[in-house]
Amino acid sequence: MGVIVLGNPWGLLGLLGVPAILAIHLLQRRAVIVPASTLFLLEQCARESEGGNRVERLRNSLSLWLQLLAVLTLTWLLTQPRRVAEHAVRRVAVVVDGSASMRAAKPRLLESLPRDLETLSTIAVRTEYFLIDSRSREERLYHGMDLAELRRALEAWTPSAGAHDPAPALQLARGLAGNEGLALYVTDHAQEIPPFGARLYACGAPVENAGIAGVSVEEADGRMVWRAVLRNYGKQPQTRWWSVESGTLKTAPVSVTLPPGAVKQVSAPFPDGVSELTLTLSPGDAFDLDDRAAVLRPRPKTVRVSPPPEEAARPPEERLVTAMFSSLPGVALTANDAEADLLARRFNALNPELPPKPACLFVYGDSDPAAGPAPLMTGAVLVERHPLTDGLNWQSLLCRESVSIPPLKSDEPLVWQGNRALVFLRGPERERRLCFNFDFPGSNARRLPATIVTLHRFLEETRRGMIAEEHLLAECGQALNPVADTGADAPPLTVVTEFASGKKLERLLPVSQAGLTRAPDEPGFLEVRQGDRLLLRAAAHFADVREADFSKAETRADLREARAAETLKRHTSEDAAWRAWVLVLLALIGAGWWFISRPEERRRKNASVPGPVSVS
Amino acid sequence: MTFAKPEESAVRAAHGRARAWAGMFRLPLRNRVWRGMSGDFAGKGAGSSLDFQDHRAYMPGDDPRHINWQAYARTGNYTMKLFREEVRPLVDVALDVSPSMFFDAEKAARAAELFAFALEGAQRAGAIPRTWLCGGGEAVLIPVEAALSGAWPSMIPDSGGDWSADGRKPEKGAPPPPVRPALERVAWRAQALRVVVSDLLFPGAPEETAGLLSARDGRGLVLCPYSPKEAAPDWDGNVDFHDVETGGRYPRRVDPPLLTRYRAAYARHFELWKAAARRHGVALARVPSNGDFAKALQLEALPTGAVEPWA
Repeated sequence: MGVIVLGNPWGLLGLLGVPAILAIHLLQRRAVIVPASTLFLLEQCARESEGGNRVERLRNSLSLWLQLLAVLTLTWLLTQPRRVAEHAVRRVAVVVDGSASMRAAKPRLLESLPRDLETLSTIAVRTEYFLIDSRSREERLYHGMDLAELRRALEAWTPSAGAHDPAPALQLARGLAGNEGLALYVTDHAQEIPPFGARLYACGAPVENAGIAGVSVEEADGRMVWRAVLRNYGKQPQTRWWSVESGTLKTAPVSVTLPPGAVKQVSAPFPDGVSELTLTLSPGDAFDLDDRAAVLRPRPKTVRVSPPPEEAARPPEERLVTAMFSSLPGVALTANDAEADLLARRFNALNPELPPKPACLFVYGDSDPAAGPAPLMTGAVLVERHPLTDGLNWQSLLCRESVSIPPLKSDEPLVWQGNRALVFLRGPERERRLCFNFDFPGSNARRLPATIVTLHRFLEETRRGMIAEEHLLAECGQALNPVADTGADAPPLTVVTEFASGKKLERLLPVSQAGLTRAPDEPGFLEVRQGDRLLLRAAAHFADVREADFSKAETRADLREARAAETLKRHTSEDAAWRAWVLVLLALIGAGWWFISRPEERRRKNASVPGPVSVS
Repeated sequence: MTFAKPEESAVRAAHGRARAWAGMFRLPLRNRVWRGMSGDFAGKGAGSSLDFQDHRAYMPGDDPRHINWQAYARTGNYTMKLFREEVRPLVDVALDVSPSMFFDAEKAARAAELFAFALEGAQRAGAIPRTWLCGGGEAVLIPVEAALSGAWPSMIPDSGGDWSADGRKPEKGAPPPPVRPALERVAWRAQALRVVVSDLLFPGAPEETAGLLSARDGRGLVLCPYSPKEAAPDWDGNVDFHDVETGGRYPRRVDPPLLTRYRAAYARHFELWKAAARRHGVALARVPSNGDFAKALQLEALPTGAVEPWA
């Protein structure tokens, strides 16, 4: 036996028929004029009847009860009673947009969401809530049936991510809510209909925001200079004051006025002896993430390259490979192969053994002046899709016939000409070799941008795999991927986060999870150490202009079909006995009509055949 | 709504019907002796009828035709034979003409029928009737001819009241009690049959009225017409009563318990009347206004001896 709930509570207004009928029964009988010759007898036994009543005392009559029952039955039908399954549970999965712009909308969200969820719930159907951050599929902010607890979870929740795709979280929400449940996407920007049948719940509002839109550090005139871009996203001009802090040092605030939509740059050199600082903008809006930025002197990992030993004996203008690597940033040349991170080598056909480290291998053609230059290779140049060659143009490469590196099945060709892989990768990832399998000096490869870019990309790959200290400027939430020692005895990583607000967090991270390290979601510094070794120090600033722009934020909730009435329809079935109730109603109306018309008939009958009354 | 005096045409029609019923029923004149002029009924004194009554000694002045000569032969004394006197009884018929008697057409017709029946009954019995109309605190002697002709409605004394309920506002308070018919103002003849046609719907001690009817060796007979609407009304809820006696409007609320008490009071009222009538030897018969006259008489009038069937 399931619980009965009312599908249409407005039907209870039908109960107004009860007082209406009572009033009719109280007032309906106008006093009829009756001739009487025995009033003196009536007076003897009924002093209380004197004067009569405007409102008649309610009399217990069958017609009254029939009419009341008819009204109650009609009310019952109007309320559309529905039967609820005994264990019916409605699931509501709420995905809250974890993007930073939600910080400004959070007070409104805390006020409106629990209230609106309350309106979605019904008495009969229990509601199970899931609260999910759109940034994370794994963690649920709340799971339970208590809206107060859900509100507390929302209060503790801090949105700080950049723009991201909520689809995975919405897919999870749909899975948790099921087909009958409600998946709600809570954000601050009204946008297209969310995927997976989720309903949109936008609670944003335009904010006159101005803040730091980006930070960079570069060398100018021999000094390291930081530059910050300030932007006014609003429609009103704003005047702010910026200042720089570093330890106990703090500069005087400098005023800057930003017209609507304007972008301005502020810059200053790093003070002497200062490598890290915090740029602060005076607060003036509801969005505080872009009012501070952590800045440091970036110091990328240096890749030590060992150029081919053969070039050392050549005059500098013939040191092709050395010249190429020395032109690349973050590269230091070394003659010590042991300490080199990357070896640049000339392919020796007589000794085809590959270097034991990451290396760049170049083929040199046989220079036989008597024979003249070797013929140019013909055939179409084809480029494989690969990160190293993505977007590069190799079509203008001209190279001559020469010896070639014997191909292996495990090679990963990048550029082809005919059947010859001109550029390919060989070896496992940590010891990968980039092979230029054509007469490098005899080709125009040195002058091709594709060659330099490919080398640069290969160096970056090598740099990423190096365990070395690195200082970098990062955006909030940016993946940092510090490279750590993954040996069996390697200690875990210690991640220390110093927020610009002064808050400091320290946590240990297993080495296996080093790749998950991200810059803090709020402006600040992050340091990753492995034991005593500093692996990474990063300064994070908020630079997601999409999140900082609130001009399109608005409030809109699409909950029409998710209201309680719809929920009831989904989780309940109509009362199968409604037809019987209709018949009962008709019977009551018919019987009531018959009893109403009957007294007149009876009165007439009594008047025509009165019997004598014996008083003896 | 207006309560009118009975129309003479209706009264004459009632008299016509009563004349026929007087051939079926008669007044109870046979079971006692009467005083009056010589007639057909046994008188109280000695008379010239054939019914032997007694002997007594001759006294000078006696009619010598009534000397019992056989007794004189045996005894030598003059002995007179006394025969029962035959007289015409006296019948006084009083009609209560209070408005309640004409409560509705049926009751008015029945009242006129009973009045005419009493008068016709007296006529047929050779009695000497007198007719009175009692109402408005007066008793008016009307000629028997006027009563027999159905002209008596015009002789009803005017009570001065306004019987019309039209345009009248509801009265506050209790209605005034109905005025008793002025039966005490009727010059009841001694040793007469005193017939009262009244619905007895007035408060007061029945003893007084019953004593009045049996005083001075009279014989009382009360024919009491009633309407079933009075005995068993169907009042329900708010009722605007129009008192037929005063014409006043008295709104009352009547619920079933009150109606039950009313019926009990109505029954008790006539119980008291009947008890008083029994004590004073007055025959009292209630006659319903509905139905056939003969059947109506058979209900109480015949069983109680208020009327008698012609043998």
